[in-house]
Amino acid sequence: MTHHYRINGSMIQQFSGKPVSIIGTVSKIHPSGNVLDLETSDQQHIVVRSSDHIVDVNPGNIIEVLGEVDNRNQIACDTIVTFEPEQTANFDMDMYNQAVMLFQHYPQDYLVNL
Amino acid sequence: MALWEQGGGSGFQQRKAGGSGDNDTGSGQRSTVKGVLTCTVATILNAKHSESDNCFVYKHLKFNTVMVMGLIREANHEANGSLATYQIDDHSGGLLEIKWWHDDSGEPMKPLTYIKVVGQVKTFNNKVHVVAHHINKMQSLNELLAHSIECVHASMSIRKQGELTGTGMTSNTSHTSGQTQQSSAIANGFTPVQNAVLNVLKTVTSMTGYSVTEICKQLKQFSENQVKQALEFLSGEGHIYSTTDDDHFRAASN
Repeated sequence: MTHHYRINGSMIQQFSGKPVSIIGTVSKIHPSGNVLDLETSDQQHIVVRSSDHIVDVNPGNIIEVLGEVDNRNQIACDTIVTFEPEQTANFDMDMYNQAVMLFQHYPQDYLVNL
Repeated sequence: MALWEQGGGSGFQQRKAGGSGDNDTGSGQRSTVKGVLTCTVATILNAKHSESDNCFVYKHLKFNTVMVMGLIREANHEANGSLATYQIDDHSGGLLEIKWWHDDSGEPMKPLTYIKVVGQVKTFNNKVHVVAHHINKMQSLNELLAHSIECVHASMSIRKQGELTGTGMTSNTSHTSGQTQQSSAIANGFTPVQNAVLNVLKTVTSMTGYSVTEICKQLKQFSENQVKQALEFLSGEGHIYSTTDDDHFRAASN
């Protein structure tokens, strides 16, 4: 498991080709069943392409997507983490968005394996 | 008192023998670094064990007991046994092995769920793992969020302490949910301001000592108010005394 950068929508471009983790709200699942549209913590929309058929995910759910940013600024995802409703009720998405920027600003304190 | 409820810092250094609850089976050596460090998996995986400090060290962080939160990637439950082994991933890089000796209550945790672990860092065959004291399923995503922020806070707090006092102080922020954590540790029983003022006064060579203004000039990181308060405290305790007037001080131990 390599280090995955926690990012939001506006950071996608600068992390092209890098492994990322994004927490967001599912806005739409494509009929193909392999692609979903995710609303990020800074209210942007990104496309997530999964290697497997997406199961247990519905629009409005908060999920975590782990994967890589491809050259089209979409996420090639290998893992989708789903949560129980009790776990995501009252989730402070704004705070999460601020935290994402915090981790960027303090690399000497948010210690990772680069 | 549960291990993770101990405060960090010098107040808890003196422990009664046998009351440590440290799981230091048979070593006979009590760890000097107390308290629980909230940190990332990468911190633990990159740490080296220090014989002299009897703890694990990575950069400015020293620890024996940690609190981590991560996604279970692999779960192995011993058949008919009480040992469960989890590999957890918090995306900081690498997988951390958690050993959990449990009773039969509670359902086993499954992969792709987040858990919070408090436990002791151990090495075996040159590889680190954590022996868990407590494992809990993540209650809310806000918990994960708070934990990640606390990792930054703990590290920053410890780093700043080290810079202020200039000593290799090992102080960890302890974490208990619902309680404000102690983030400013005390060195030698003094706060960082008091320590700094005392150290300045210890360098005095003249009989007059230093004036408040001179001390403030040497300690630009503190406000005049902070310096004055520190002086009041130190003279009240007898560590310093005033000389030619109320504005000039010397350290008592000079």
